[in-house]
Amino acid sequence: MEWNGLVAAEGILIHGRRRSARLYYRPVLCVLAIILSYDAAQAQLFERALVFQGARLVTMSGDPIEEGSLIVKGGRIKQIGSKVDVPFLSKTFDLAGKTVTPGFIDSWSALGRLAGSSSADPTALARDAFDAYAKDAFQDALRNGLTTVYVGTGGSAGITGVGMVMRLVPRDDGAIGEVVSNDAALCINLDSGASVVSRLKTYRSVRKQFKDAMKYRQLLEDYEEELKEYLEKLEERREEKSDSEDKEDAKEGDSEEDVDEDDESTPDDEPPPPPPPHPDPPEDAVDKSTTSVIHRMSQDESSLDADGDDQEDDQDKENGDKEDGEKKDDEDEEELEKPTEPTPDRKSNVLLRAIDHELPVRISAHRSADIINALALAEEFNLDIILEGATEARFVANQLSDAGVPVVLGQAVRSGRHVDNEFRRHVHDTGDALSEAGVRWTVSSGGQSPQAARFVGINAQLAAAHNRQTSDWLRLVTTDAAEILGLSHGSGRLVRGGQADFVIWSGDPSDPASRVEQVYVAGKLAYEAKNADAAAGGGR
Amino acid sequence: MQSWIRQPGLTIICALILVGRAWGQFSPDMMVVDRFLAPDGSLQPNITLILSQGKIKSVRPGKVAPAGQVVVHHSGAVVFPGLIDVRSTLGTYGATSESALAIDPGASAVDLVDATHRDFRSAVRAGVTTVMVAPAANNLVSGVAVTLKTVAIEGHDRFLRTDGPLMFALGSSVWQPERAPTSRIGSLAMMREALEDAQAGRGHERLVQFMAGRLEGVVLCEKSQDVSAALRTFGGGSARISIVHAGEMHDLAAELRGKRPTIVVGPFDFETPPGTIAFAAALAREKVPVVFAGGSPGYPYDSIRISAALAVRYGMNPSDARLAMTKRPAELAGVGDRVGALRPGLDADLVVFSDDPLRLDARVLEVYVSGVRVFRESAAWVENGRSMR
Repeated sequence: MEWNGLVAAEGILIHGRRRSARLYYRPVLCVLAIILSYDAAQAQLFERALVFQGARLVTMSGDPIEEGSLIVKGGRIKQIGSKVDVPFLSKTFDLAGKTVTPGFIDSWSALGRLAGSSSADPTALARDAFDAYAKDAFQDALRNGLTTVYVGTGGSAGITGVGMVMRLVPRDDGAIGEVVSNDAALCINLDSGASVVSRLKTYRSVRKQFKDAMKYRQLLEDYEEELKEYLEKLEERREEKSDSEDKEDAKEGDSEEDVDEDDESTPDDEPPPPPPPHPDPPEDAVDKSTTSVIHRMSQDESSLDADGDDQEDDQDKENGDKEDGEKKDDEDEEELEKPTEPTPDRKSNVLLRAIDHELPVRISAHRSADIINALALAEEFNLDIILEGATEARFVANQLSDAGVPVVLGQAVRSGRHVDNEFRRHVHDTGDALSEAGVRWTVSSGGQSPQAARFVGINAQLAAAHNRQTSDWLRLVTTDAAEILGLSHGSGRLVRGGQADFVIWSGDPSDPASRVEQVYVAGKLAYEAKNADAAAGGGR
Repeated sequence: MQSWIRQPGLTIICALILVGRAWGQFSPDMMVVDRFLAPDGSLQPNITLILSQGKIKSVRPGKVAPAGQVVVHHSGAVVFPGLIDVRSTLGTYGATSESALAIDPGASAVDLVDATHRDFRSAVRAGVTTVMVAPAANNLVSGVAVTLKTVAIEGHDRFLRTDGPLMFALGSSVWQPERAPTSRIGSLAMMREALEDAQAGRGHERLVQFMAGRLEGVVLCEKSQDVSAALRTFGGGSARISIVHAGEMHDLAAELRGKRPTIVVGPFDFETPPGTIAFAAALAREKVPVVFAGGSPGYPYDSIRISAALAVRYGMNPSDARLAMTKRPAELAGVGDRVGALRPGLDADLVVFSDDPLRLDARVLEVYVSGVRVFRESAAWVENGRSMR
């Protein structure tokens, strides 16, 4: 069937090519477009539907379906239920006696993160530290049922960058991974080792960065207003003295040179302005981006003539910020001051997205004091936070509940005596205390160790063993995790139209003797147990 | 687990239980449970245990009508012998072996243990009732281990064994700059010399006994190379050894095939490489007896179960895994005639799990040591849990 499709498509193409060669130019482009989209088109149009029959389907959305069928096409679940219409020419698999569950989601993972890639910069991206070629690690993760991970930036303290959500989709080049979201959350780590002082410092610096971001926003708003005024005045003046164009130009030239002067402190020819040092922009910001200021200036200069005003405005919005050669020089009362554009501040821009609720904030905090700080931060800047780790969350469960903050717990077991400071008060039933207080929570591999990610399911079992409210460990690492990560409704579930990320088990997934036989991610076979593996299963 | 007591005479039994509790120690005469650990490592249904004076008096198939103080568990509860951790350091502090003597067979770990340490209680809650504690592995011969229960029960000796097995070590932890040996080659030379002397009847009595096969040894190995060395150095004679080795040793499977000493693996945690875990399974397939180390309190108290569950997930037969938490470690510590199985005559050290302990979502419901209940998941917990299901 696939071949038929190919041949048919080929025929269309050849036909198209001939016509275009003979006749027009535009059809050539059309054909090129078709060729370019050919792969995608083929995948969509000529892919055979996969039908999985006879398995116990643990859908996580209603009761399990005994001896149900699952039809997959185009990376999605087309149909699911005890009775389905099997499409023509589909590929059928008999899964009698098997159990199918959604793929597990590790909502705080380090899977695939390269060693030593911690950062302390809000603009850092977890994506950049992801090793899509760590094949063994991915295979081992899939073998344990894991299909989706949230990976943070892994910085040790402060605001450390932006995390991502990745599905372990097999790629044609042999690598693994398809980014679901490149900016899943802003990562903040409030755990900073043993010393009280360093923890306070971390919190203070995080708070300061948010405050700076707010200031920066104020600057931007002020600037926009001033610019508007300035342009209006400029316009008025133009109308008044339409003959004084030359003067304007001259003035523009002046202001540029003044800026150069700021940077290099070599006063030039200009007689009028002994430049009174800057107004609004925070000094350090100016220092950091002097080069960009200069660059900006030259752009401004070229676009500042009468007809360039609109463009400049657009640019402002695009870059969200600017610095310009604003001069407060009162060289001449009649001259207009062009307002200073704030220095572009990419770090603040990231934080502003968090403040504007475009980016959830993940705060890693273990001790109750740090958790309280995290809550205070969320309140002060009106952030949507998700708490990570939260070893001592049971002490502040009510505050967490009041603030509506969900919690991603780390590994379910910690050592007895030789544990780090952060985990000293670890108990097994933290989740239980959270449930009781009405806090949404899930469990994860703890976000630190790439090796631990594969055992997120086992962590969920351990967590469930110690919780009276949550007997269903599967829920923790499927629907609950998907919700906390804000994934679409079709994630962490087996539902019609949802993502075809699922695991085929030889039996009950709670039974350690059950094997993962196959894993499909986005409808593609991502893992298949080797024969030796299956043989190793053994009896009871 | 279901309703606790569904038998006739419920009120009376409850009253008896309450009275028993009021006296401080609850020790039932009989336990009726849905499933239990059979001698071959499988789980078998319906069992009645008759207990008497801290011992298992008899094990009867089926559910016998209760008499006396009875505990009844339904709903898939599994009764298991208490788990045994052969690599524990519970109750010890600081330096636990001599740093000046490389060969110190006279040392005894019984001198190390603070039996009142509160960490023991955490072990009990995880279902660990017996631990073997050894001196630190800093010496070629570091002395004898001690095996004790995690709870003291009045009228019963807490220490199961204080004179063995004899602990050996190979590997870098033995090489100390301030005394010989300082290298791998030196340590093996020294070890051979000591063993040859002992063979000839010279040297410390414990080494002589070891060479004569009257005292078993446990060799702690760091790398697979050390395991090879141990087989070479200790093998051949009448000496009996077990090997402790947490790392990977695929290449040794063939070498071990003929000799079959017990191998202690683990504790495995979430970062253990897949190959290491799979190796435990490979050993069991070669019929090499395997024991899972717990490593309490440095590792989580659940480590024995976690190690076993991971090994099963990576291919180990569940029956082998269950024995590797109970019977095999008891044999390694030389206390197989006291604990480690549900057999008449053994101590009534029992753990009631809510399900197969290889399932990590199974909970410890009750723990008994010498027939006395020392831990019970609170009744409120059980009811609450049930109401949510």
